[in-house]
Amino acid sequence: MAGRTADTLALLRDEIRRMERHHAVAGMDANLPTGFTALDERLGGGLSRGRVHEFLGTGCDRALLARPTRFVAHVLARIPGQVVWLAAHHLNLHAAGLQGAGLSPGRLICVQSETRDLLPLCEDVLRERGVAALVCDLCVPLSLTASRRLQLAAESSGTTGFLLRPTPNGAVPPPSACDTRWRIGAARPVPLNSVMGLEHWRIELLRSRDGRAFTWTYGLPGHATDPLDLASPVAHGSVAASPPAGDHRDGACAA
Amino acid sequence: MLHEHDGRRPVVMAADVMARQAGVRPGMALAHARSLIADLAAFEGNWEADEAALERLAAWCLWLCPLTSADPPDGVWCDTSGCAHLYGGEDAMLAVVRERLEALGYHIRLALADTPGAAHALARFGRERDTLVPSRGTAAALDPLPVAALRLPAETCEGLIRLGFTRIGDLRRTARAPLTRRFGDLLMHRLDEALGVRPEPIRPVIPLDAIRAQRQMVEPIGTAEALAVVIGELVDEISEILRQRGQGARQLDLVCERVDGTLQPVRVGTASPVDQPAHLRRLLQERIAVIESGFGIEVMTLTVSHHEARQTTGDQSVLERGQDGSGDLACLVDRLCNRVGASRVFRLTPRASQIPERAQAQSPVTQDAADPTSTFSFVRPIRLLDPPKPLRVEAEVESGAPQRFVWDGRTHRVRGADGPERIQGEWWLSDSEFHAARDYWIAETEHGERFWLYRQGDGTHSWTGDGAWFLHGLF
Repeated sequence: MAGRTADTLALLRDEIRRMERHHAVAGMDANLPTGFTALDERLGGGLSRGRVHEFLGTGCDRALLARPTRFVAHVLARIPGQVVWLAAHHLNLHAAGLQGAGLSPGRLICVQSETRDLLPLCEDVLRERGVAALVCDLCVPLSLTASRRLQLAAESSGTTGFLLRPTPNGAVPPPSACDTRWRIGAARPVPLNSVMGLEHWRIELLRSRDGRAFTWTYGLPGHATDPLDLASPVAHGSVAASPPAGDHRDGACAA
Repeated sequence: MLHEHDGRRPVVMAADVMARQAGVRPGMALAHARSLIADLAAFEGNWEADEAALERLAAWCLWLCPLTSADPPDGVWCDTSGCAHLYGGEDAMLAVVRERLEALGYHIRLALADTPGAAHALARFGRERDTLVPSRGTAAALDPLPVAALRLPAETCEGLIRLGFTRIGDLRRTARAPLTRRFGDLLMHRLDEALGVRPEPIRPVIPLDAIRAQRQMVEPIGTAEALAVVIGELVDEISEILRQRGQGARQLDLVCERVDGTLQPVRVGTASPVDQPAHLRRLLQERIAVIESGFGIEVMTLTVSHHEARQTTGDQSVLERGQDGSGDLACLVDRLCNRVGASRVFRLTPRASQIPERAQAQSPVTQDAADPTSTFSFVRPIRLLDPPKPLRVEAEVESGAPQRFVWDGRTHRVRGADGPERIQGEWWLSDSEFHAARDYWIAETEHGERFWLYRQGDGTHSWTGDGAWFLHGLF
């Protein structure tokens, strides 16, 4: 009898969760770990699943978005399932580079659409439960309403959305309803000798739900010796724990 | 050359290119033609057989679009609304049509326009071999054509020309009433049909052995919900038949007949044979937005225009296996294919090539995702600039590494460089690549950005490349 009551309670809880649109999240981890320990700690475990996150580039990478793409690929490499990669232009992903970032190209379903169909397609894919994530090379402006729609679509299914937004003129796009906004680029290498050593990343959390901005600087093992695999503890553990000297540090608050 | 009997004497019915070069024209007496060419190959023509063959050709054209119709004596109409994207655009579609029909041995002229009348006129009287009229450009395209292009009886054409109306544009710009009084209704009907003012339904070919279901509505329907209900019923009926036959649909055509007699075709395709009602229903319901219901739809017909045997045993497609709850992935892929075109939904698969931009191929998603067994020994950027962008290197060190370069309007100082990785041209592909070489460098600037640059040529021998620098990607 007691068991049956517990069952009923569990069922009711499940029902309530469904009403709150978190049913899809309920069965899985609520977060996608990024692999950067300090960052995951700050985010409470990683990027929220079933939400939309946007990524910007800086410097010469503003339009091509190589480092934000690598960041997203690292995150996706840690979860199973198929990923839909959507672009309105010629998709310039390179399979060998994806492999290097840990994401098997065989897991991607690449879609090239017309510019005007891009956002409706994004929304449609985000509503789909069969895929793990959607990545979109977003080359169109995103209005607040449109981003809200994407967010709702992602919440309804538990599919996580990653929007890669080129900013060719360097201007930060207007606010959106996305869960987090990131700017990922290079950091000035500190020991100024002419040897290629660690690859320096500057990861900025520009916006998040709790409204606090953060900046992290990471030195990652040189690409020439090690395919940048964040899953290995050496890649973030030792390096992140003893970062090269400098003023903006691991978790230094830039708000 | 073909000939027929016009009641008095045998006359030329049709002549091929060589006969026409010798001066043989349709309508000429056979005796006259024989006098022009001594060894004329003349066969008796048969209109009935020709028409039957044209019907068969129209049915053959069903691969292209759901609605096709023979247009005797010498044409086939295809209503390709909503189909062009499946072939990668209208240009590409015309190219495919031309290629396939020419492979069958036909000499063809193609025209794509908003209305059957305009397409008919342009295919026969247009200046180009293939005409593609942009949407709403019909009137402009028709204006320079002769009035004969309007499918009018010969006496009407003669009468118009005698009055000075030689071009369709002349007719369009003149008062309608006097012309109607003189030549009857047909003239203005044809003009309106060609311009799309008046709808002209075509009588579609129906393949004999097709699996089809039809619903006739008591009252015309027009709302998306109502259409969805009818689609659901049609799909249930069809999938029942498919299941009994052990078949799966690869292509479905939904034809909605409107109150005004025009037909609204919708075509959807699937990547593998499908008989699941939920899957098919979803594909069709996605396309409801493209149906223009106008004053309402009276009849809806769903036809399976292409079906294949379903694999009931053995291993199923990778998409259907459902890895970690992705059971309806096949449906998603089909929906994406129907929305953006099958060629634009793909997987990246490795290809054996040293040249970075050739090292991957796009393959259809139906294929089992190959495990990337090839190990990439060199590090590669995640995105490539396509094509590589030229870049000015201002200073090089002795080893050939760039020291200072200009990109994006700024001068970048290199603080460390890794390379060179020499990639030789694939000489087995083309002569121009016989000696070609590229030297790739990874250059880190003072700001920590890493560029993937290459120089064309090995730097010493001019035949390996001109020494120009390019940016191929960023790390």
